[in-house]
Amino acid sequence: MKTITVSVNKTTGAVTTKTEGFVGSSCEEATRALRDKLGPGDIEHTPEYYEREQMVNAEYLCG
Amino acid sequence: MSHFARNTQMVFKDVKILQQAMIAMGYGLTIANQEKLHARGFSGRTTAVDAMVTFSTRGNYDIGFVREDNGYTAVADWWGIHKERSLMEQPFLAQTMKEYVFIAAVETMPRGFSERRRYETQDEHVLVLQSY
Repeated sequence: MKTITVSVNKTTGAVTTKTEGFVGSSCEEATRALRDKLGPGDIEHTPEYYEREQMVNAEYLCG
Repeated sequence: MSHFARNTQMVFKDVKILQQAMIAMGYGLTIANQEKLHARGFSGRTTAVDAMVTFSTRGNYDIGFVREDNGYTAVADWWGIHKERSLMEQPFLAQTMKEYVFIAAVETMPRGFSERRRYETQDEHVLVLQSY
């Protein structure tokens, strides 16, 4: 069974996406369309990037 | 002091999903075609925007969204919005982000997945998608 859990912080609006049951790169493939709608995540860019781009913090965890 | 303020911390990439999020919250969103829209602030001042929240009742202050390279960000005279509609910037935009993210997650759900459940914790709104 595969699971995608999407969480949004009630105060800041920060988004976290966690997955379970995926093998290899299938997690990235399964969440690619969602990432396209939400923007890049912390694991893909540095804090300096967000400071520069002023983007919302999003976090994608493939497990 | 009353003035327009842009919130660059919450970025909405897809204006159509942002529009659906506004509808889910009981509002509407007018999206500019070729010409910009004008969000109103204190003392008749306006600022050019690319989308604007529509409310069921008329008022003197607007919440707009400005299109940038990475998506749409909100701009409003939040002092006036709060005075007129009892809406505060951070809770309003966090709620907008929740609706936006959940709609985006369901729309982009991989084949074979379905929505399992939605729930809240003290700090978060959570959506779970599962496949069997």
